[in-house]
Amino acid sequence: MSKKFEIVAYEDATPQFYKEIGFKAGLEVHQQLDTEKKLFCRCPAGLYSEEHDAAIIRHMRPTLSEMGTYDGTALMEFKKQKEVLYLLKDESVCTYEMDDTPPFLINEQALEYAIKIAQMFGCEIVGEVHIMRKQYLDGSIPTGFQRTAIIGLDGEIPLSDGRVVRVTQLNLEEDACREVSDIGHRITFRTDRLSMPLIEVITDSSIDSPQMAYEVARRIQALTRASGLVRRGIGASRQDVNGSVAGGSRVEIKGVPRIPMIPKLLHYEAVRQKIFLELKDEIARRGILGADSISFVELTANPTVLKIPIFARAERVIGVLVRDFEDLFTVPIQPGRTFADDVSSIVRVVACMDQTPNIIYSPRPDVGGPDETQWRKLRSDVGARDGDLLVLVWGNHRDTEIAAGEVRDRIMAAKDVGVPNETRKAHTDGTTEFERVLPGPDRMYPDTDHPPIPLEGEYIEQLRAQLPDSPWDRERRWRNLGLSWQLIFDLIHERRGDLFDDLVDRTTFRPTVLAVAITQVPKHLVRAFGETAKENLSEEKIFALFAALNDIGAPQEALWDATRMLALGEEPEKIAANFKPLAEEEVAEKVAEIYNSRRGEIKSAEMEAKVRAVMGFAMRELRGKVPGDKLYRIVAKMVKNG
Amino acid sequence: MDAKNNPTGQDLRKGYKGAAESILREYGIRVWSETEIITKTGKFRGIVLPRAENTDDRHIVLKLPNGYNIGITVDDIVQMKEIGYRQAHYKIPEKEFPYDPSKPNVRLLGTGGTIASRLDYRTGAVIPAFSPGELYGAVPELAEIANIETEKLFAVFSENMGPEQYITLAKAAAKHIEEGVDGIVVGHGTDTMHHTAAALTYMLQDLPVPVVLVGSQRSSDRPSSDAAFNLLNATYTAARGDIAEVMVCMFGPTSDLYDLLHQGTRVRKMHSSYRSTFRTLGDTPLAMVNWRKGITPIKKDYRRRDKSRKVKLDAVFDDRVSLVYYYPAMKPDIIYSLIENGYKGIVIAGTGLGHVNKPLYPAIKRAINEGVHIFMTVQTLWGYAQMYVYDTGRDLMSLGVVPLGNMLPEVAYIKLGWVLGHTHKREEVIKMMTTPIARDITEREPYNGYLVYQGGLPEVQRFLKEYLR
Repeated sequence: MSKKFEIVAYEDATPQFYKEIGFKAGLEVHQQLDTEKKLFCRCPAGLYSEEHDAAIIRHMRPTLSEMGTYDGTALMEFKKQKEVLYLLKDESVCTYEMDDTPPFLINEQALEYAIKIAQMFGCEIVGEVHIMRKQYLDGSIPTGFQRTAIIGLDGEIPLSDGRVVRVTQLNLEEDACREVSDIGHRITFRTDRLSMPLIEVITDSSIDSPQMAYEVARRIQALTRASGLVRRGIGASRQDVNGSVAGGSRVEIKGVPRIPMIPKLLHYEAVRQKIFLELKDEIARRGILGADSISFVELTANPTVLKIPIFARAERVIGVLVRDFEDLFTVPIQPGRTFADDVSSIVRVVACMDQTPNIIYSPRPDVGGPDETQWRKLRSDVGARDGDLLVLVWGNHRDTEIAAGEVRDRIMAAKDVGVPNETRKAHTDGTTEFERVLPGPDRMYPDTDHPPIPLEGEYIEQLRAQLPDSPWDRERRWRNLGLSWQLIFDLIHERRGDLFDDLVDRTTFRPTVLAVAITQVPKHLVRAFGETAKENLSEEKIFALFAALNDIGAPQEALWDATRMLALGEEPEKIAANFKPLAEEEVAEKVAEIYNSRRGEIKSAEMEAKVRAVMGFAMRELRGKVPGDKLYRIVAKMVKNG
Repeated sequence: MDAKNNPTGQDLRKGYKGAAESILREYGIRVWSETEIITKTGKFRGIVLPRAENTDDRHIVLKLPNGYNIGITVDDIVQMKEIGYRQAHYKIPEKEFPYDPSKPNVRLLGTGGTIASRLDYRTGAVIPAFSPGELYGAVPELAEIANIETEKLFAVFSENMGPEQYITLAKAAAKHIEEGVDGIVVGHGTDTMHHTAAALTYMLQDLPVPVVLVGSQRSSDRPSSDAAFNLLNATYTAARGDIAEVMVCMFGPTSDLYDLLHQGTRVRKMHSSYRSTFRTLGDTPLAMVNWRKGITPIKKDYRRRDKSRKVKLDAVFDDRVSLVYYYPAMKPDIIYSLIENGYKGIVIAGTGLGHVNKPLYPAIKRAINEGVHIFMTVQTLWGYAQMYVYDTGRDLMSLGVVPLGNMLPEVAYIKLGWVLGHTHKREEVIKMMTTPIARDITEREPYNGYLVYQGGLPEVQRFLKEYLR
């Protein structure tokens, strides 16, 4: 077992470590669908721009949930009083995105794609789709809510070790805006991505190690890609990762852009929770943070404060005095981060104080804060004893009050709850910081703008009939055809799986040869001949070419050279004509010619070596026009007969 | 369990009918039951919600623990079991509206609409909530502006407002004004707000204080609602503004920047869903308002607040009037049908400068002979009916059709109903109709009134890029 307040490094963690701390995780994978248009309006999907044609300004207010309560996150967002600026680009935004028009009926292509993917995960499809509004008061959606609906429930993801992770639900929803900046009380968004259709795949929390989370994410990615119905590229797929340890709380790390980042993020979240639980125990052991142990001291007019440069422009300065908490406030919780840093993040987010440092709890002459002497003076002015913590917050009236309250609340939460529910932002080094309070079910209410959508059984079955195999079924089938893992990977990566299956059905060429011919060969050719080769090597053309080669009985060796000609822009039918196999007599004649003309070059007297040498000469001329084994037979016969 | 939580009959299965209702009955499941449902394919757990009317009878709506709703197909249900009961208490937190004797007093009259509202499960629609306590719970900033008392006159959607409601509303407003309030705010659905604004303009004359109509284009059940901003601005205008007119207070641009105050007789809803849907036509708006910054007048000649002035209540209306929107190839039978059905006044929204086709002439002639008053407005909305310019106009005038200058068609309709509530004498009717009241006809159209920008043009695009709107 790890030591108290120890940050166990990711590299040092053993399976035993995760078992001991009771690690649990679940994933929410967001994947954009490859539709032409957006989900609730007819704007084109997938048009991004870093420029804008117009801007509008809005504010958000919380509303009641269907069950009659306010959501905690919503109230926190309202506290922030942010002004939201939306940047609009003509071609990607209509009056729907700017919330000046109610939704149009749902994009049926998106609905169909979502149902198909849900079916591929083995989900139950709902009888009737109910569009819900999920409140987001951070401004990322101009309506203040995301339209979202459950399409399927209870699917599964089989893993390589035979275990199965359940898909608890699969939602179809609209994507949010892209954040441009968040400075003080103004947050700015681009609206081009807004309202593009995406699916959210939510797993149960049976994932018991960061490495398992990685595999689950990869599997979800593989399946959605295998559907051929999703977008690819930067931002097309984003992961929210939930982690907890026994006695801790569900904490959500939002918007992880790359799957390889997942294990480390989860590991350090587990470590953070472990430390906060130890902190809770330590607080209880010491018997501190009882009633009245936190007080606010008004320091705005304090003579020492007035001399400290960092407070020069503050309307207000408040000291938060916490009895017997000085050493615990700086307990490290993640590499390079302490409890105090977490509190600073909360102050930044909730009180909109984004200039760091935004809290001061020790002498900080380096940033224009109090020096040692001033700090001692301040501590004595507020009546701090040895071991007491003093945290200073400053700024305008309202924000400063909010900040002081947040400092107090977060410290008390360390005693009362240990690990608060929250969402955190991912950093690339595997650490995270506070983003907002974790929203609950109270932020959901029905979308009265869109009627429920009944899904007829017949329609569902019709879609089921069109499903491609799941990647795991497909992998098994391809293995049985003799494909190596590398070739399977190439087929998936190059998105040539459908073409491969079609060619296996249509032709009699060996599957491994086909797989190489449609993945590795085109890759080389594109490298050699550039973009036009890429266009020439379209699925349709390759299929037409290979089918034609098959029909005239071309040997499989022809595939390479024929593909090369295709890359150079020749027509499939014409190319195929070049590879019409020679009749047996023609081959014999050619071989005889070659044998006679090159006889002098053959040194060896040994029969096998002689055959090999002649075979070499013959191949150079006849490759692709006669199957290799056939040629070998003719050559062998001729050499043996002298 | 008290009676409230134990409703009988249909209420137990609110909104469900046919197969869905009977399966709920069969298993003893009520709306708001926490229920376990086993279907042919799986097991679900959640709260059975009321079902919206006008939906099918083949699905049960279940709220899952994570807040999502789904519909479960009735035919697939194998078993249902109630395991709890949790009725929603859907209520805006109510707090007592604080009273501050140093602040002006505003009376808020409720007609319905979506200023403050909550969801109605039966229809899936939004229903209004209106007490001062509810308002204060939802928009606490109101208390910074004024003391507010509310009176709910009716709870109807805008399209259900009519003469009866105009009269009730005018009387209520006059009563409160006589009692000395500093301003009146009228919460109103937006669809016909401009009709009501015109009606109140005629029915409440010589106003000593502002009467402000306000609504919202995005209902207050949405975080992005314009309701709170509009309400704050309207309350500010009523409490502290200097313009003692009947006004509409709604978004200026689509951004949360300021509201415009429109004269009640010159305003029209111009977009079915945009926030900044109300525009002043044929003129400029009266003023801009942002309750945190104050009122910026655009027009200078408005009636000023003067509490010593006495309001003149003139709440009459003859609803035997019609508004006919002319289209090419209109047949005279439309007019004949109005005559035969006893209509006494017709406002025509004619083409161009105020025209209709020749085949209507005999019908118009007969109508006027039979005592029907016919007035001409223009369906271009901007500009004047100028019937001397073409023969058609002159022909129509000689038949007895009277042009109304630049009066808006809807305003003319309301005014004619109000005038006919006073008199049916032709000369008097014409005199009253053509005598301007509160700018319903203006002598001059300001050159900067008509600015219907055309998006896409370079200069307009430049404007959009540079200015928030």
